[in-house]
Amino acid sequence: MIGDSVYEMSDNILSVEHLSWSVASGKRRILHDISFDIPSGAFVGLIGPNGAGKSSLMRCLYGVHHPQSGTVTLQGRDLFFLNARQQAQKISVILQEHASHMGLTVWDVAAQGLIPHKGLLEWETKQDKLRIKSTLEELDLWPLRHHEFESLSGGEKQRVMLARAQIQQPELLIMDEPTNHLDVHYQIDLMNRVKAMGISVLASIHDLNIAAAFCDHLLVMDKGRIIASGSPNTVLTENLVADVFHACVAVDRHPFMPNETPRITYAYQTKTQELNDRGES
Amino acid sequence: MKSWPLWCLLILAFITPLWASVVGVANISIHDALTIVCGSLGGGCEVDALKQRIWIELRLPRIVLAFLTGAGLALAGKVLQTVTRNPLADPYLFGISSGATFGAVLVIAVLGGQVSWGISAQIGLTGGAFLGSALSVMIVLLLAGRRVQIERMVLAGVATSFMFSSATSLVLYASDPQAASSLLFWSLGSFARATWGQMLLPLVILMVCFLVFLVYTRPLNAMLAGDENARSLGVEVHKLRISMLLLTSLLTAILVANTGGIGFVGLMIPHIVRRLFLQNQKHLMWVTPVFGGVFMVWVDVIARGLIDGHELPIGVITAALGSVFFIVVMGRRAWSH
Repeated sequence: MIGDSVYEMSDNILSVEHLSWSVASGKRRILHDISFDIPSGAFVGLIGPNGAGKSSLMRCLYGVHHPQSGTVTLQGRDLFFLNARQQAQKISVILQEHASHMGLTVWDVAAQGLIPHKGLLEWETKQDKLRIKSTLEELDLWPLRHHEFESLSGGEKQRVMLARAQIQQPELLIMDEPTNHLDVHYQIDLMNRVKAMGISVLASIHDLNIAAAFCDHLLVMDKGRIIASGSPNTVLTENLVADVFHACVAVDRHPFMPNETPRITYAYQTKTQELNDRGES
Repeated sequence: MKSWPLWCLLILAFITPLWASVVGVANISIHDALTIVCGSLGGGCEVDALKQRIWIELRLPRIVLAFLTGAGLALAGKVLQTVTRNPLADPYLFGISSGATFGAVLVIAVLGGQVSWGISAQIGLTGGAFLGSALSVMIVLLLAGRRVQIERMVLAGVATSFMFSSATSLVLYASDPQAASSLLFWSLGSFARATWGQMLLPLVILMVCFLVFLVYTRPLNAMLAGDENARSLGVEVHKLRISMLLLTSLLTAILVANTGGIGFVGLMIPHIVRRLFLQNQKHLMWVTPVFGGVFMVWVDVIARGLIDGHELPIGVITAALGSVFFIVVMGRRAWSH
């Protein structure tokens, strides 16, 4: 595994050790002996081909799946000893697609960020309403506050989910392919806004250039294992992309980005056969 | 946020019972009704004693029971649609109403049709209805699998509903004519036998359920966007879903035991309310039952007034309105995509 000294020196908000998970029947193991840390304030990207286990790993971290072995420590406490509400006070989640909200408005969805912090008999206070208002204004959603969530575009929906996440005031934000279905403008806009929050983030990302530009650290998954870990410029090499994604790319330095951010250029047609041949051999 | 729809509803909720109480064969005016109300509040009452009796002992309990039934069924439908994320869910879809009807019908059959509204008969009917609906919920949950998948729940609910309907028909077929006549009451629904004595249990259960649902509004709304979404907000999804299913089955059972099978209200009202009160989402937990109650009182007025000298069963009117509504909703969905 590729190391990264700066990354390893920070305090960790989340530590995963030897985590393994199989589907309920136990016949098919999806995650194998996963270990990694997320330092406080780091933006960690999870990349890998479809079916690598990225979403399954994330579901283990926000309580939907229950791993058969391994430990997850959140700020020094065993995550699996926290109840759902305690977990939600620390971890916020933005999913890639949103099921029907059956009539809920932008305000209602954003206000759901208060749920983990409010008792059943606690009403929204004036301060809560002011916080929701300022968050919606900050994300340019205030004019849409009375609109039905389902009537929004994909980019607007993700901004509402980001507003909800901000109101949830988490220590860690988990995002499962948040830029899927978004056009270039909204992809960059969303990632910049997340980055501006300044909290620890674990995001699975399909677009390698987005991952390279926004992540401090990348975890590469394939076949349920983490096969590489490190800063984008050490992880995103032509060989790794070819091995993991079976895609032929050229990697150079991004002309507009600092810190030797890698830029990936895809060879769309000419090299495909060559790669296939390489894979077979 | 526009608040005028809420005010309109509240005014309607005030006017409707008053208006409904003066519709009927006996000639009682709104002035008479208000005079009786004032009289019972301490002032002298100049209205004829017979009219007073008709108004207080026949019309008012009927209106109150209609309101409670409409409110309860609408609330049950709203909660079921929320916890199953299925906009077409109602107590019928999950076999809750069919189970309750079967339980009540079985009790009537055992009693041989001798249902007087004594306290023991009411407990027997309510108990039978609740056992039937609870059994139905158990079967649906068992068939829904360990992860309580919504799609499986709907299919299991449909199967369970048919199973209990079939069992009800069998009991009806095997019963003596007197019991069979009483059983018709359950299959068609009516408020004609409403008395003040039978009001307490539905009122208490409705208030308890309403308060529980109100307290759980936020977690329930979180479930609208899916189990993963709700879990990530700290909601114990499975526990909440099962609790809500059991509570709605209790509420439905109490109402079925008192009024018989009244369909489509739980399906229609939450839909209409969602559309009419789009900007008042956080108020829907109280708006839905109030709207359902008002609606049911009007349905009862129609049932009493549509054909002179003849009263139509409530279930016939709600089913007619509901089926048209269902067709319109499905039609709009089919052509809007």
